Amino acid sequence: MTASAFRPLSGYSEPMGIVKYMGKRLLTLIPVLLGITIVAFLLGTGAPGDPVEAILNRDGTQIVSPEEYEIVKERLGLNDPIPIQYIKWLRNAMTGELGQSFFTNKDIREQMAYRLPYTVRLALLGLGMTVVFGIGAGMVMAIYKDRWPDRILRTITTVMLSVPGFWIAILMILIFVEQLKWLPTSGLNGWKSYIMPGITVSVSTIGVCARLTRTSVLDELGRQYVTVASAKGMNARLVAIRHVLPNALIPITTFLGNYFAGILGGSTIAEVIFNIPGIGNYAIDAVKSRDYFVVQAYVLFTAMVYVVMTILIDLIYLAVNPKIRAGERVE
Amino acid sequence: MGKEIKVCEFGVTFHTAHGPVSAVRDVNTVFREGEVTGLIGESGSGKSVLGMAILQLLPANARIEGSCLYGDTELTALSEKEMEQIRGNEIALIPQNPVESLNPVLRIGRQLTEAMTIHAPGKKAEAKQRYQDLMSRLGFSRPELVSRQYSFQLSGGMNQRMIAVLGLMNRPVWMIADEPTKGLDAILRRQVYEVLQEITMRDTRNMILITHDVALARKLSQKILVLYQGEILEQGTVADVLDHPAHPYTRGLIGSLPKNGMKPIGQPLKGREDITGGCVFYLRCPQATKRCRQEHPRESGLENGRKVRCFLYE
Repeated sequence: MTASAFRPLSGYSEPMGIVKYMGKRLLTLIPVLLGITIVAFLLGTGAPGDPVEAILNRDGTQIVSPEEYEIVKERLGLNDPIPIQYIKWLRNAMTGELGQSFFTNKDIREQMAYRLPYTVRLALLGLGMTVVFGIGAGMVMAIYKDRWPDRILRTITTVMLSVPGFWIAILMILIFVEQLKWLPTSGLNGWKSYIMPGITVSVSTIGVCARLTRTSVLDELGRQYVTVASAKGMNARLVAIRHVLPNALIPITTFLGNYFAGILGGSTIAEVIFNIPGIGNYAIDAVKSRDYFVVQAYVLFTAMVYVVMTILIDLIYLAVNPKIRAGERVE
Repeated sequence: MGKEIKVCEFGVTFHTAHGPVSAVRDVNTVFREGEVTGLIGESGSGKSVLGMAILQLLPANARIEGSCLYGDTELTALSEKEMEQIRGNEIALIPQNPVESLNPVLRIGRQLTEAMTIHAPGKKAEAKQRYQDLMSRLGFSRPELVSRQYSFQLSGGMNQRMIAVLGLMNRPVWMIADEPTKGLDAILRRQVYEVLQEITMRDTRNMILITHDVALARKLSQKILVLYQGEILEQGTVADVLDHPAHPYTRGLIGSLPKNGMKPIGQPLKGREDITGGCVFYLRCPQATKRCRQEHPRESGLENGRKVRCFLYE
């Protein structure tokens, strides 16, 4: 931070700071968005396999006549040069028209709208668990630094961030489903069905988040304003919650935002293992059958989620960090 | 009831990975009511640690030894909860590093209000009135506006006055000012002096002034304690200690002031190896004898309540 020695009182210009900051942020997103659509489109067209062949000759035993081939190719718009295909696709995508699946002939937008709530529910559960257990454990570790609660949690979080989610998933199925018979294996039967998938998507993130919170809180606890808050006669818990946490949360916000965007598009493993009909499961099916309009739509969707989350993180930053609001330079 | 602060065989030890480190030892003194006591010494002499030890605001690895009586209350025997009632309310702090002392993500008004509402929940309006009055007194022309700002939007001098406002919120009986002029230029030092003088004249005369700034201590204090390496080497009235220093260290310190020709205190003298158990000033003392090396001097009482920790005055 570069604090100029004297700042005129009239320099109280929070709204201007916000507008400038968000304006800059939004401008940088334009090339990002364009780049994403190009990559998403090329991933589809560039992928190996001929979609026309795949549609007409699903099991590989049919003989396709050149006339039939041409008709389907024309219908899919694959005779146009690639840039034209891209512009058509982009125009459709911008109006929300993502096309139809080659195989099921179902509208992709409708399919995604149907599947999205499952993924969102899972992602929210993962985020909630990370916030509660990750930040909670991190605070406890920082407050009890080097004493037994810290040592135990440090070991547990190290284990958590080192084991892969699918391994935890299989272990949980063995214990809670096979042995104890407490939880349903797969499919959706009420809230109980979300417990194991929720743990699967959040276990390593909880570990990372707890570590991050611990470091961040310890950094802040050494700062002078903490001593001053205690000198007012405030008890340690209140100092931690009111003074330390708002500062410590600034770096954690970014981490949580990226994580949330990540599981919105990437809870695939949990969705497949526990057979949840979410976006990730849809994408896996599409990849398996080279249903490339669906793959394109999926890539576009996850990328958009990242972009939207980036904007959201920036907005949250504005709320938690007054320095940005005031247009102050931040290190 | 008398509310003087009396410390007896008071000390602070830090338990570090390299073993215990004694920061303050064997301090015996009375901070009398109606008096500003200046705690002077170079950096690392333990003066801030001593001040923060009275408030028990030290890092977790610090242990406090001895006794610290506040009126009839033994502070070292209080629970953390009871100590919270003392802090800010009875004994307040004007911390060092004003810019670092305010929370950068909370508005100033909230931090000031909180100082009062912690002790008296529900007194939000009174707190607001109080900080606006105090701000006006300390030269803020638009208290309402400033209270909605953040510390990083204020200048160094404004932050300095702001933490004085913070310390005064609850009309404390005692005020501990920790290095109020550290790192400030001449103009701000003058401002700090005026603020502290205003406080001693209108708010409370009971003040412990921790400073390396001998000129500031002379202007504000009635009594002076000289610290060196965690021990009080000399204590007495301002006139006695600063004008007629008795201890060789105090003499060196006064002689090193700019107006006295800036004569440095010597580096460790040749042939004097590092010893433990003797006088803390033995290594650099121009008048040291063999005895100073082996024996630890006790405080000798002189006239006028003055005490000197040196064999020259036994």
